[in-house]
Amino acid sequence: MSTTAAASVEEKKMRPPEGWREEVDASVRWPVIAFIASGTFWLIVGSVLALLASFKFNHPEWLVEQASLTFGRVRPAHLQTMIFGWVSMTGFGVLTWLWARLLKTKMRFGWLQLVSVAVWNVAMVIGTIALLAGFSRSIEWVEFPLFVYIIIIGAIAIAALPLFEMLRRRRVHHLYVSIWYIGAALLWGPFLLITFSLPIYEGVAHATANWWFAHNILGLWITPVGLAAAYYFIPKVIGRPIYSYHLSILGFWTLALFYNWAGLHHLVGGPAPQWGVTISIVFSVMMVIPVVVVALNHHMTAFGSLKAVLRSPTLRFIVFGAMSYTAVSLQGSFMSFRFWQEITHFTHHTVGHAHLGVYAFATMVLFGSIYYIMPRLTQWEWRSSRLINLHFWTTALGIGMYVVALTIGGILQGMTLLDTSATFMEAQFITEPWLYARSIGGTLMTVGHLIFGYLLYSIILKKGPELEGPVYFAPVLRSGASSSSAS
Amino acid sequence: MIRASVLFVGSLAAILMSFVALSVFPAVQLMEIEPTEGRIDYNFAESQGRQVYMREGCIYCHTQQVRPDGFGNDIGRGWGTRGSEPGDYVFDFPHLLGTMRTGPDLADIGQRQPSRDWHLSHFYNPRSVSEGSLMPSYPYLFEIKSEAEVLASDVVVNVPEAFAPDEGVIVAKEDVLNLYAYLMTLKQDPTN
Amino acid sequence: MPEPSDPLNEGARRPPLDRERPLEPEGMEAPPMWLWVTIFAAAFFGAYYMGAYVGDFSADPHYMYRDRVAAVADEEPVAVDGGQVYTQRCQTCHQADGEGVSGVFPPLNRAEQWVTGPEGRPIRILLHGMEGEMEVRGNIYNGQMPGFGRLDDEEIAAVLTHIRQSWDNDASEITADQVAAVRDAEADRTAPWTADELLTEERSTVPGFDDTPVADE
Ligand code: HEC
Ligand code: HEC
Repeated sequence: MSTTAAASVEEKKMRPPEGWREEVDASVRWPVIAFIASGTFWLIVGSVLALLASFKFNHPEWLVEQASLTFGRVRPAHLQTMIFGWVSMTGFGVLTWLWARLLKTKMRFGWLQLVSVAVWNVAMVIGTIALLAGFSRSIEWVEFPLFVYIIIIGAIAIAALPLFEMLRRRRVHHLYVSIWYIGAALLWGPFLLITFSLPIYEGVAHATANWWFAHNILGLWITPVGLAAAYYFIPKVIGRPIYSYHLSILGFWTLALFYNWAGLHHLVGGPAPQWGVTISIVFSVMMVIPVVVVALNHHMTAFGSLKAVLRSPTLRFIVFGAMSYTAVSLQGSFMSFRFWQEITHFTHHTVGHAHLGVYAFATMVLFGSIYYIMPRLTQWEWRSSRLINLHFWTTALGIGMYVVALTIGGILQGMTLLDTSATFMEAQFITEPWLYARSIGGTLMTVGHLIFGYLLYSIILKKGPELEGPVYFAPVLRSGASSSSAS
Repeated sequence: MIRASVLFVGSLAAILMSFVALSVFPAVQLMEIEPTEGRIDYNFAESQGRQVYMREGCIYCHTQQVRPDGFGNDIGRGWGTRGSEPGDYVFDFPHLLGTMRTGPDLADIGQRQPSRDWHLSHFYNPRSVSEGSLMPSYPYLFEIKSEAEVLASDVVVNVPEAFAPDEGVIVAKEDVLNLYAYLMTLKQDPTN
Repeated sequence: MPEPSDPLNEGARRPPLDRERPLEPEGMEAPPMWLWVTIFAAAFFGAYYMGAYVGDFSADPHYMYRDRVAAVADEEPVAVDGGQVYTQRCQTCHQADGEGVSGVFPPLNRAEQWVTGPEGRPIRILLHGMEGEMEVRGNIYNGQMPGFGRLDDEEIAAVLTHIRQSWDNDASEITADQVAAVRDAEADRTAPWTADELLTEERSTVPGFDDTPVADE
């Protein structure tokens, strides 16, 4: 135990002064708020685009006169605003706050981040308009014109500079696990964008690079930020340590080593070299390891704190997200198998899976984080626990419907396509009721986003009643025998 | 962990390995691939048509890759006669393999459905030839002209009465003719 | 584990920053045994799967299906299903009910001069296609019917028999030999047929097969 003893001595030397939290929060206040607010703006834009696309499946004759609103333009605009607008910008705000808190260090050069937000938003506006105006590159996950990504890479770099600078002045010795995920993501994200923009791919090699890239944007840019937040907020709010440091280490390095090999399973059966697809299937299965490890770490920490999970908005969203992460990853490992892909590849099933990842996991974790962060930055409470509750249930039920509908509808579609005696149209008809259910789920989620947008607006501008004490959900369970709730 | 350098070097090394193996290596391995017999680069109209295909996002509903006998039922559906090969795509950038089959695979559409009449009527309104189709109509790729304005060079589109405009005739714009030209390059056996 | 009382520090009716508790350092639990078993199993499976399907790292996308393709080719040809050929090749234009698309694609149902007419005619239409003005059930059509000469004799015979005997149609079967005979006789032709040509006696018959019953005319 001598190393731990030495470490704690180190830790004592670096101890920050009393009241460091106020200081640190104040130093990141405006950049973080700007990132979160911009992200939320893109969330709402993205939701509108999503609804358009979804309803067009139910009514293919709806709004076909305007070229800019055709399905094939709205659909990529939805994806891009959600990934590079909502998840990436809000994620950047959340990771900046976590970074500062975990290093217990004030941010200098915060204005660089404000510049980054401005530049990033301009890039998003240009990109979205370009897509709707018909300048799509038609490369999945990277449809914006190339120069838009160059601007976004620049924006990420500018925003990351103050963070790296803080590392050198940090007031902790030991780097907490959230820092590992965030630090790595800050390298991985730009690395992915830069390498995929190189002009070295053509034909089928372009497809392999495309899916190596797209899967990694999810795995190495979005997922690490979600996990970092879960690793921080679960123990923080419950007030109990993360279950095991060993598991944290194991989970992080196996994710770093395995996730980035999994992308080519998107090309199974197609013209990509068989070895590439095989390697990707192997590593998709190996992903079971980091997922089980992280699940164990998160769920063992939260285990037994049901009441806290039910009452704290932050915890409720984040635990929902962490559970979805376990579910989506295990599903993903299973879905990569050739025998299963034979059915579900090319169907709506995959779209359901994608939303389980980006929404039920990443987005819900971001919501939860924001519920914790904002009152600290603005020194103001959320205006209403009722509205937060409504936000939770609309989004949770909405995404639930969405995923269940497409998961089942996709399997039915796939089985019909495998049946030579069924016509193609029968395979399409069988999906139609499920596509309706998807639209309803999507509408619920959008309602939730509007409520969230309103809450965020209120807290930033300090609207609403001046409350004292935390805004928690009303108690749902009666106090058990072994514990008593707040008195 | 205590040292940030371990973190950064380690995570960079991890991603570099897969980048080389799954992005660079296939590019090198496939560099020398010969085009499928008969496949030639797109001419001007065809590459313009390919742009239309990209612009309108056909890729979100259509794939261009046939799975081989023994995996899936693509050949049984008549979408091709063999699994797609890298040689079929040597002139493609960006690739348009696609991942969704809300509509049928199009890798062999030029062989399967060569009729221009059919395609034009289908683009004007898919439901005119395919009842219940979920594919969007593309009316903005066509013009409605009065009979008198039609030029000799215009391509007039013949659609069933129920779908025709109340007055005038439908004339295909250049974009949709290019799109048709592009679709006709999609053949598993381009010599045919 | 019992829940800590007041886990959310609710007692503290204070501003957010003051009611926070510090983040505890991580626990030091050892990974459970079953986790190591899972890890080992996943790694073992990965190694096996890689060995089985990596396909020599060749650029071939369908390496694992090659043997299988050869095996399929060796099998006895199965009888061709005319209905299936119809769904795959004809249905987009002539529709499932054989009624075509009004004004664009002619019906096959009750197309008496054509589908159920003398055998030589539908065979020729299928082999080389057809274009120009024509009349079916009192309506004029002027489109292009693509040729299907690429299909083999069995397939053409099967789909023609299918359309001649589906819906309200009820005409004789067409055999692969008849298709072969016409294919031979018209080997030099590349252009699609026109209605006028097909309505002549010479283009209605199948050489070598006599007394084609002429239903109409
Ligand atoms: C919303 C999804 C959707 C979009 C977007 C879409 N399609 Fe389709 N497409 C379908 C469906 C469903 C069918 C099958 C029914 C039919 O024939 O219309 C189809 C059929 C087709 C067919 C006929 C295939 C065959 O085997 O008969 C062609 C050709 C085609 N689409 C081309 C295109 C092109 C080109 C675009 C882009 C301009 C496009 N589609 C955009 C859904 C879509
Ligand atoms: C691209 C659309 C298209 C496809 C696919 C197609 N046809 Fe046709 N077919 C036509 C058109 C158009 C005509 C009318 C030609 C004319 O106007 O001269 C026609 C005419 C015919 C006729 C003669 C007219 C009649 O109504 O009987 C027959 C018989 C026929 N087709 C059979 C078939 C069969 C069998 C298949 C499938 C192997 C098939 N067609 C596939 C478009 C098509």
